[in-house]
Amino acid sequence: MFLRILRKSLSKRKSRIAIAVISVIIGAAITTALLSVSFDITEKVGHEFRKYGANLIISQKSDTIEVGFPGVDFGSVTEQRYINESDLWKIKTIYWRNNVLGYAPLLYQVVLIGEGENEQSVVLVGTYFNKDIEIIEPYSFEDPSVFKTGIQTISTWWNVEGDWIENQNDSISSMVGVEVAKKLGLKVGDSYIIKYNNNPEDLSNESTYPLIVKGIISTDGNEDNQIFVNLQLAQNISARQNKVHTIQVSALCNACPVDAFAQEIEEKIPYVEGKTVKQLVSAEMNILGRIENMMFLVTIIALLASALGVMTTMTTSVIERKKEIGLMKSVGAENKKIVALFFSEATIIGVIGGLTGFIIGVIISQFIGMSVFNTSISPRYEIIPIVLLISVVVALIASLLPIRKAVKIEPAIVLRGE
Amino acid sequence: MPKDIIKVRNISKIYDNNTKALDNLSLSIVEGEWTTIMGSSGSGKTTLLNIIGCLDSATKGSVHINETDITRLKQNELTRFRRENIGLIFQQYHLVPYLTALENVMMAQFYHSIVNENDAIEALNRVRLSHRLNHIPAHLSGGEQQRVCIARALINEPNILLADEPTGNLDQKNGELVLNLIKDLQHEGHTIILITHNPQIGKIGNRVVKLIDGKISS
Repeated sequence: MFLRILRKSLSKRKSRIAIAVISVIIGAAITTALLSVSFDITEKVGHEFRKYGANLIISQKSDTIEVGFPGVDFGSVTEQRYINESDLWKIKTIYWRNNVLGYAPLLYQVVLIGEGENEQSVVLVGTYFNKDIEIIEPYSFEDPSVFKTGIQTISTWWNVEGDWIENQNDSISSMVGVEVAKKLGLKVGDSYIIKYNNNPEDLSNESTYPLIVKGIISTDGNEDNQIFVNLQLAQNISARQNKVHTIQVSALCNACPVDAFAQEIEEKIPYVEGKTVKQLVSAEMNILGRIENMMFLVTIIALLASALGVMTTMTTSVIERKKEIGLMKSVGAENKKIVALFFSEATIIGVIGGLTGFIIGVIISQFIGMSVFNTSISPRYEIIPIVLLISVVVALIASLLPIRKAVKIEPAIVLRGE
Repeated sequence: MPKDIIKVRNISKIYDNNTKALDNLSLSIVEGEWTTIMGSSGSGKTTLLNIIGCLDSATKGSVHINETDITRLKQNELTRFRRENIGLIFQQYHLVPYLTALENVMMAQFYHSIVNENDAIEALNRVRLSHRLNHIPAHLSGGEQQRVCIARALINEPNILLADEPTGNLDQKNGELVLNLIKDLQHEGHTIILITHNPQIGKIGNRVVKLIDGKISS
């Protein structure tokens, strides 16, 4: 009988119930959309940040040696030490390997370009552009055995006129920084010669290498004054086979601190140390924090608006049903049965509103994903119980005051004919 | 010898705005008797009915029904006492508009104890509404609605029936039908307390109590 009363009471007041349900839908939809976005946002924003370069630099531990004793600092001396290229695959075997979006080794050397008075020293950087790295001992047997990575992967923000160097064995192509190109009047497709001398005192030791400009790089950074070639070529030029100076790592960090990456890499390759690019990491965390706070506030406001809508509707409903409630009491309904009736109505409003709101919220989250992050946001069905719970709790809390009013209705009003 | 089923002793009812609705009123009602309460508007008859019906409480004095002092009962105890002992018939019928005649009767069963559809149908048969079981109040005439109200009042077998102007909104034919039903119920042993302005109805009962300004005048 209770269900019959409930069903008929709801269907009799369809328009009122619809208003309350719409209120809950608004709150649930916004909650769903922001929760979905929130779950994806750290990843999406992380990916966005990764477009702006590496956030972890790996270098040889003993690259810089501090000189002095406690209280007296004589500065430091630099001892040229290298990281073995053959250890690079280990970076992709740490616990957080899936969050390693890419990395690129860098080997620096100074070369000369031009003749006579126009001769200039330029930094030549050997790196991977887009190389297949064989993972010799994967962390898990499910992991792929090859990882394609390089400077192209971690520096998607570079402006390149011309093309990237695609061939991993190309020993003639180069990518020239825009400032170098300007000074030397180089254009895409031009040929030029670099000179390298291991011992500047002995000119007979100088070797020359012809290169072609495959692309001109513009980054507004140091890269504008450098020339990039395949690592193998750079190693051949300076006879430093298997050597690199540093490794730039692009790590996607949402559930883990970047420091954890560095620590793990140090464990895998014991002679290196990892340093985080603190500005980038803190800016990332700061923005993520602000976005999450903003979404939390918007959700709270939406839920408050929902609660207000439900409360207004339920209060109107109680006023309209004053006689009905008085009558129920006069024929013997105890307060708990009146409370049960209204709580059940609120629960149904919460469930219908929550489920419909979830569907609409998924659509809104897609819209946010496409318009803000230019990517779709995957629907997360695991948030259905959360959204349902929030919707029902909001509907129940919003019904507390109206129910209190209902409980206070005196059955005598029925006889008084008020 | 019939006993006093209701004993009202020196009750007064003063509302918040200091209006004195009942003034030191005492009254005894014998089991199985039909008592008609008459009086002008504001004389306190509905207030008296509310207090006897456990819908309202007296400011002072005591009311014993079936040896229970209802003035000492708490709100929930009053509700339970009312549903066990008292049936209410209203001038405005007060049926739930979205429930059928049958469901309105079953609702009283639900709030009392266990719903039994057959008993509810039987109660509507008694008031000659077996052909209107599934009609909602809006599709019933005034007389039919009042008969549903009587069936609802009877369904839990209370020994006291309180009727507030039960024929006030009915034409003569329907009014007579309802009064005959109430008369039948009295013959079955129910104690009837009926409020009316109509002196003709007053003649039907065993006793007439006239109220003036919250006091019994005769």
